[in-house]
Amino acid sequence: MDNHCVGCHGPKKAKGSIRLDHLDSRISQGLDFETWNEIYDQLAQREMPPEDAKHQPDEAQRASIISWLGKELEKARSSPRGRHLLGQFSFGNQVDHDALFSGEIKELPFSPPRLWRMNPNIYDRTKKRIFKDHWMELRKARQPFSLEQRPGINDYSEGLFADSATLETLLLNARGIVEHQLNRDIPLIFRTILESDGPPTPEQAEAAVRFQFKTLVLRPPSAKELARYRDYFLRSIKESGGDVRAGLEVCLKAIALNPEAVYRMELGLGSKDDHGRTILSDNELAFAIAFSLTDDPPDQTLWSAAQSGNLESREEVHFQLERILEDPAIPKPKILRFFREFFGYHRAPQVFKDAERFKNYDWGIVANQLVHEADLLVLHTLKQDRDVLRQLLTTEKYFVGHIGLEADPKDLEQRLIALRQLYDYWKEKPWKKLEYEFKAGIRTEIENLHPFFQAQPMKHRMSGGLVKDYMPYLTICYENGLRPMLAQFILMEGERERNLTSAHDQRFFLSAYNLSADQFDCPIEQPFELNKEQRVGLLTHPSWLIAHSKNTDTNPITRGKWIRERLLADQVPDVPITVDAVVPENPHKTLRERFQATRQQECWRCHKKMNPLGMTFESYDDFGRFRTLDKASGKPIDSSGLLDSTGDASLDGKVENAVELMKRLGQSDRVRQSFIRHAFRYWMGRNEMLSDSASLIAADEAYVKSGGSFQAMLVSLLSSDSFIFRKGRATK
Amino acid sequence: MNSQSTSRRAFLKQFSFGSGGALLSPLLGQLASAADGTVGSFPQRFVFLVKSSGLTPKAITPESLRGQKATGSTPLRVPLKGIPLPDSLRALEPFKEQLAIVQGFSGKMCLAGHTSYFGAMGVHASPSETSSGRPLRATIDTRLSSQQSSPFGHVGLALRGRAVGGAGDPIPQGTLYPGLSALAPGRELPYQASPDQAFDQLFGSAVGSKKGRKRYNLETGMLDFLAEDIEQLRKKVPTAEQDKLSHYLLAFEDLQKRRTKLLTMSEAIRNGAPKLTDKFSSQLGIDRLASHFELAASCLITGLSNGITIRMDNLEHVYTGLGLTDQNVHAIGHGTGSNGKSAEECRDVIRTYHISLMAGLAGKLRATPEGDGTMLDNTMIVYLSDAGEAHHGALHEWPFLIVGGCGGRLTLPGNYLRMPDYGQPGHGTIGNLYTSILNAYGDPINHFGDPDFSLEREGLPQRGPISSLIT
Repeated sequence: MDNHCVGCHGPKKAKGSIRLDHLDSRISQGLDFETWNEIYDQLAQREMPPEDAKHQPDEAQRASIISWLGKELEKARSSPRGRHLLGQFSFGNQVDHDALFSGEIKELPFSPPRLWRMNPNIYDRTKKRIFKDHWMELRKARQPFSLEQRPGINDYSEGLFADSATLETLLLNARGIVEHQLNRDIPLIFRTILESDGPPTPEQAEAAVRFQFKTLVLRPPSAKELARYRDYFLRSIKESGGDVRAGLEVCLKAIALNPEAVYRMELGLGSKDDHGRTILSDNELAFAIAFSLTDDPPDQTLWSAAQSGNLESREEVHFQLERILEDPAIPKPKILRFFREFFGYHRAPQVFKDAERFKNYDWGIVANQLVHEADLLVLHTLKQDRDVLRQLLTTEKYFVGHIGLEADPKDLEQRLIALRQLYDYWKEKPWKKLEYEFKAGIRTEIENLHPFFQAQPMKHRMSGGLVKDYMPYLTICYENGLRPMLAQFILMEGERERNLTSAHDQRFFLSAYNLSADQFDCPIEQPFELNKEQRVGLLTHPSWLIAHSKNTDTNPITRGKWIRERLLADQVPDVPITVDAVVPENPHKTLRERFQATRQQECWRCHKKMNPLGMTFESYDDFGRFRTLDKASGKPIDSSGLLDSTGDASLDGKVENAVELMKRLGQSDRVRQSFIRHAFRYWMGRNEMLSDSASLIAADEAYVKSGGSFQAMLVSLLSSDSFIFRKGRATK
Repeated sequence: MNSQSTSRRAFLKQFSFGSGGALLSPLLGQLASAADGTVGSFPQRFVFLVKSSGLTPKAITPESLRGQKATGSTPLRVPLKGIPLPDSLRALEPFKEQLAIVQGFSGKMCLAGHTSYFGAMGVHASPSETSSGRPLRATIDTRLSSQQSSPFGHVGLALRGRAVGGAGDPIPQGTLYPGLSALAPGRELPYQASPDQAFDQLFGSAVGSKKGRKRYNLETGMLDFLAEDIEQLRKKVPTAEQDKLSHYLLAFEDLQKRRTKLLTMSEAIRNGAPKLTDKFSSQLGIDRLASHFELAASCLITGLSNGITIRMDNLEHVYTGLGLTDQNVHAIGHGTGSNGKSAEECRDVIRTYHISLMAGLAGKLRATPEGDGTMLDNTMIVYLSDAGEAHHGALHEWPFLIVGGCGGRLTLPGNYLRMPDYGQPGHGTIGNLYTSILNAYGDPINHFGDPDFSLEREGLPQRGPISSLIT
C-alpha cells in the first residue's frame, strides 16, 4: 500500500481527503471499519488505483492485498465494534442483493438470541392501562425508552440500551405509578392488604406480586420470581418497622424496574432442531407476535394458544397472525409506523421552514396536516391491499384537507352545517373587532347554533380569537360557492397539532399541493385525482418532499440517496468527514447548475449515484410546490434524470421527470424486493444476513402471488424461520 | 445525571462504541478548561428563572435610558451605578453592582407566540404553539451546570407546567415537564412541582419527615435487591447480549454512588436544609413559589446542585396570592385588567413579586462567604421569559435580567447593555449571547443553537461568541 496508495492518500496529497497513514491499523478490531470497508470495495472493484495512475500493482499484489484485507475485515465483523456498526440500519444494504434473492443460499434462516429493549409505544400503552383517564398522572409519567430520530428504522435490538437516563425516568415513573395504585385507582388485592390489620399472608403477598408483574412485566411471574418478590415484600415490611404500606410500595416499585420490564427476552428457549437452531418458546413467540402487530401484550386467545402449546405448529401461527390482522377491533399501529419509517415523510415537521417566507405563523400545524394526509394515503392503500407498493409509488389520487378514513359521511355533513351556521351568525357582525374571549351571552348563542359547539371541552371552545381565524377562509369559500376543508375544523376534536385555523395556514397548506383557497372545492369523496401530470405517489407528496428538503432549499442529494438505498438496495457512503460539502451560492444559477461542483472526479464517484435521481425532483420547490421556473435565477427547471447501474436492466435509462421515474420504479422487481428487505428489518429488528435468504424469497413470493398483498407478505415474514428460530452467532 | 464517575466512564468506554466519545466530552471539557485556568477554585452556579407571558423591554429599562439605542454596530453600554431602577426592579437596588440589564438580542430562529418552549434556552424552533416538540440539544441552563459536578446535577422546580394548555387545572403536584430544559437531545429535564416532594428528594437523605426518610432508606435497599436480579439474569443470557444488562446494572451503581456521596454530606445537608413548614405543601401559588426559592437557595449553599431552573408560572396561572383573582396570566397578557387594575399594572405586580424572590435568593448567596467574597460572586441568576419580549413575543429582542458576579467571567455585571437592533450590523441573537456565556465559562463551543436564516440571507454574521461580553 505504501508503494501504490500512500503517494496520493498520504501526507503529501490526501486525495479525496483520505489519508491511509491516519487510519487505525487495528482493522480486525473494527477500528476505522467504515473506511477500510470502502477501501476494500475500491480495490475489489478495481476503481483504485485509478486507471491513469503511473504505478499499478500487479495481479498477484492486488489479489494478496484484497485477500488480506478481506480476512481482516471478516474478523472485524465479529468484533464488538464491527458488530455494533453492522447492526445499524444504515449498514443494512451491505448484504449483496442479488445473492439474497438468488435462491442459491442453502443456510437455514435464524435470528441471534437477543434482548430487545422495550419500545416507547409499548410503554405508552402500559401507562395508559395503569392511569386510564387520569390525564394529569398520565402526562407526568415520561418516556424512558425513547428512540433515536435518525432517518430509517430505529427500533433495532442491537445497540439499544437501558442506561442511567432510562433508570432515572423509570424510577420517577415507578413512584408515580405506585402512588396512583395505592391512592387513587386501588386494585382489589392492594386494598385488601392495606385494609387488613397486620402484615399480609404469604398468599396475599403473592397475589400482589402477581398483579404487579402482569401490569408492568406484562406476564405472570415464574415460581422463583414469585417467591423472591414475596419474600422481599415481607422483609421490607419488617425493615420499615411493620409499615405494610411502605413495604408494599417498595416491592411494587421494584417490579417496575425489573430487568424484564426493560428488556424483552427472545432467547429461543424452545426445543433444538437438527441444524443447531432453537425455536422460540411458546411464551416468547406469543410476545413476538403480539408486539409485531400491536403495542399490547398477547391477547387472551393468543396467550391461551401459547399456554396449551399450540403455537408450535406453523398453521397455528398463521392462524393467529391472520386473526389479529383481520380483526378491525384490534389496533395495529405498528403497520402504519413501518410505512412512516420506510418512506420517512413523517419527518416533515422536523425540517424547519422559515415560516415568514410564507407569511405564516405556525409552521408545525401545516406540516402535521400534510403528514396526516400521507398517512391517509397509506392506510387507504393498505385497505385495498392490492399492489401496495406500486400504488404508493404511482397513485394519482391524494387526500387534501381531509379528516380521516373513519369519518362517518353523516358526521362530515353535520360539521359542514355547523361551519356554515357559524359563518352566517358572524358574517354581518363586526367579527374583526372581537376580543379574545367571548362574552358570556355570545358564548351561549354560539353553543345553541349546533350541538358541535356544546360538546367541546373548555380549552377547545369557540373563542373570539378562533372566529377571527376562521372567518376569512369561510368567507372565501362561501362567496365562491366552495366546500371548505374540514381539516380546519378538527380543533373541535381537540387535535390542535394539525388544526388549520387561520386563512394564512390554509393558503400556505393548500399551496403545497399547488391549490388555492379561492378555487379549491374540497371533495367529500377522497382520495381524488389531483394532477397526474405533476404528481404521482408518495415521493411527490409534499410531506415526503419537505421531509427530504433543507430549510430553504431542495435536497437532491438526500432524495437521490434515498432512492438509491431504499428502492434500489444499493449503498452510498456518507460524505467523507473531511469534505466540507457546500453548494456554492449563486443567485444567477439553478441548483442543478450549482451542483456542477460535484462533477469533479473524486466527488462524482458517489454523486453519480444520487444526483441524476434526486434532480428529477427539482420540479418541486423546497416546500413541495410544483414549479417549472426557478424563482431565484429565473431559469426554467430541468427535471430530467437518469437511472443507471440499478442492477435491474429494465430500469436503466433516461427519465424526463419524477413522475416518469416513479412509474418506472413502480414496475421493478428489484424495487419490490428492496421494499421487502426493509419490511424484514423493521419486523425482525435487525439487518438481514445472507442466511435470511429463504425467508426473504418466501415473503417476496407471497407478495407477488397474492397480487401485491402487504398482509400476505407480512404473514410470511412473521412465520418465517428468521422470525421463529434462534441460533448463536459464530464466535470465530 | 452528571455525576458520572471515572470508573463508569472507563467501563462505558469498553462497552459503548457509538456513544463513548459523546460521554467523554464533558469530562474532557473540564480538563481542558482546568488546564487553561478558566475554572477557578470555586464552583460556579447557575440559576434560570423562567416566567411566561413575555418580559417587556420597557418594564426593565431605567427611565433615563428609555429610547436610547446602540450607535452603529457597537452595543450601548451604560454602567448602572447612580441610575435609579424601574419600580418593579427596586428590590435589586442593593445588588446593582452585580446586576445586568441585557437588551436587544433576538431569537427569531425560535417559534414566536405564547411560548418558544425549548427554544428559549435551546435556540431552535418548536414545531407549534401547542407542542414543545423534541429538544434538539441540551439547553443553556443544564449545559452550563453540567460542567460543575454535583450530586443532583441540574434541578428543575416549577410552579406550573407547559405554557399553553391545562386551563382550569389545579396547581400540579409531583414531577412535570414544562418543555423548557433539556439534558441532551430528546431528553427533557424533569421539574418538581411539589415543594414538599422536592424537599424529600433533595434533602431526604439527611433530614425530612419520618415517612420521607423511611422511603429513602427502603429505596436504597431496593436498588441493591434489583442489582442482584439483573446480575442473575445477566448470567443466563448469551455473552453478546450481556452488555445490555451491564449498562442497566451500571445505572443502578450510579444511583447508589450518589446516595453514598449524599451520606458523606449529611452534616452539611442538615445544616443547610430549609425549614420544612406548611408552606411547602400549601396550595397557594405564591407560597409554593417562595418554597421553591428556599429549596433553590439551600441546594446551592449546601452544594447539592450547582444549577437550578425555576418555572415561575404559566399562562393558566391565577395570582390569587397577589390579589389578582379575576384573570389568569393569559388574559392579563392579552390586555385584560384584573381586580380594578389595568393589565399593565397587573404585570407590574407580578414582576415586582418575581424580582423580590430573585433578590431574596441573591441576598442569601451574598450572605454566604466564599473565599474573599461571597457565593453570589460565583453565581449567575438569569431572569427571562419563554416568550421573549411580549405576551406574543415577535422575538425581535429577548430581554434578560442577570444578577450575580458570574465568577468574574463576563463584562455584564453592573451594566445596562443594548445590542444594535435586529437586522443592523453588530446585532446579536440569543445564540450569540449563550455562546459567549459558554465560552466565558470554559466551554469552547463555536456556536450554540440554530442560526437565524433571515439574518443570514441579509449577510449579517451571527455565529460565534461576542468577545466584548467576555472578560
